[in-house]
Amino acid sequence: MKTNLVSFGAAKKLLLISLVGSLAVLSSGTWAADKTKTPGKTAQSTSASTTQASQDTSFNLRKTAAAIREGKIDVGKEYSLDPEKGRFHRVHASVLGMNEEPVLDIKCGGCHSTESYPDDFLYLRKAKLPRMVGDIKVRAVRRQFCIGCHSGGSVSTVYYNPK
Amino acid sequence: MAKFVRVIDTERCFGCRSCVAACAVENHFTPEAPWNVMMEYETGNYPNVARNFVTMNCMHCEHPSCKAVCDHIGVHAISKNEFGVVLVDYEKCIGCGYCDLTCPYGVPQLNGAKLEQLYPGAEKTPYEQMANLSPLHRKKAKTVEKCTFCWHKLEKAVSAGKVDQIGKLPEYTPTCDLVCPVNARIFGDIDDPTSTVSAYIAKKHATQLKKEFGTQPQVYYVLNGGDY
Repeated sequence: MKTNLVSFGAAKKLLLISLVGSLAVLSSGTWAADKTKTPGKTAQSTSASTTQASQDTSFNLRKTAAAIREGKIDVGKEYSLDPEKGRFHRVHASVLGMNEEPVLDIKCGGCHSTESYPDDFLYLRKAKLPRMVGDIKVRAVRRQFCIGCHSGGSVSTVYYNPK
Repeated sequence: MAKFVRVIDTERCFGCRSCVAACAVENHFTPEAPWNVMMEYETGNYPNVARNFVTMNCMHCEHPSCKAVCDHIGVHAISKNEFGVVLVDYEKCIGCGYCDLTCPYGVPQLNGAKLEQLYPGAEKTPYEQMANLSPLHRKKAKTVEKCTFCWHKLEKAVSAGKVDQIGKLPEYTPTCDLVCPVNARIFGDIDDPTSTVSAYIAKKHATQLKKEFGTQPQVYYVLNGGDY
């Protein structure tokens, strides 16, 4: 288990490249724009391809969410935060981010903060963090990242801003 | 129907932590899982600086994200009762930590693998003796804990038919709200327009923290500078 943790930690280190902004960028659609941007294209065509790419991403997300709910994608049965066995990390990291054809560019650093939480962030659990997982210091996830996908009207399960 | 809320005046609070200590004694929360925490930070630039104190506990949200996720995975350990109090049923909790993840305020606290008596070898405290009354009072290892608005006190008022005395009589008021030496905490019924808490929220323009999550917290804060 220790070996697994260490290797997982090493993998995490490698993946700590896509940082805090990735989800925020994604939610504004510019992530898709970066993927499709080609030098020399007109603003109009870039805008059109951005819309198309955003729709594709949204469509893929919807399909993936449906597949998880229908059990077509195996994310395990364990409701826990275990980085390898728990459904939470398997859904967000493996299925949505770390497989061969990621739907979203979610990496560890895309959710987990790389900096200490400021005290004025007013987060009650701050004292418990960072936690050591293997040789990696795991810091908290700013919940602002979760709002984009988990607010009312989105494809994910709604936890915030219910309609 | 009464709906209970708390207002915390950060302009009055000076960070003495009486409320934190009172909560620890009253509810005997486990050391790694605090129910009430004092946040302390500075604002401004020298020489115009200020020290801010914000005490935080469960917000007892109108739309609790912790309950939404708990229900979604089929555990149903978190409930919100008719008085607006969000409670965790320790017997149903599986300790998955999902509520902990979704709460914007980081409130639910997964406790440790072992629970100890407050005073080992001595008689159990009244709160510990209450464990046999309700699953809500019986702490259990590897489950989630959080502030209950001292529900064990409020439910006494409910069963005695004295709901109108909640927030007024000490035995029917959360302990943290009783001990504040500068009256920075007020607890009461927001649906009663004549209650102290209603008047205070209106007069001081008290607001909620992190409103962007849409969970509608039931703990209001008087913030330096007013609403945002």
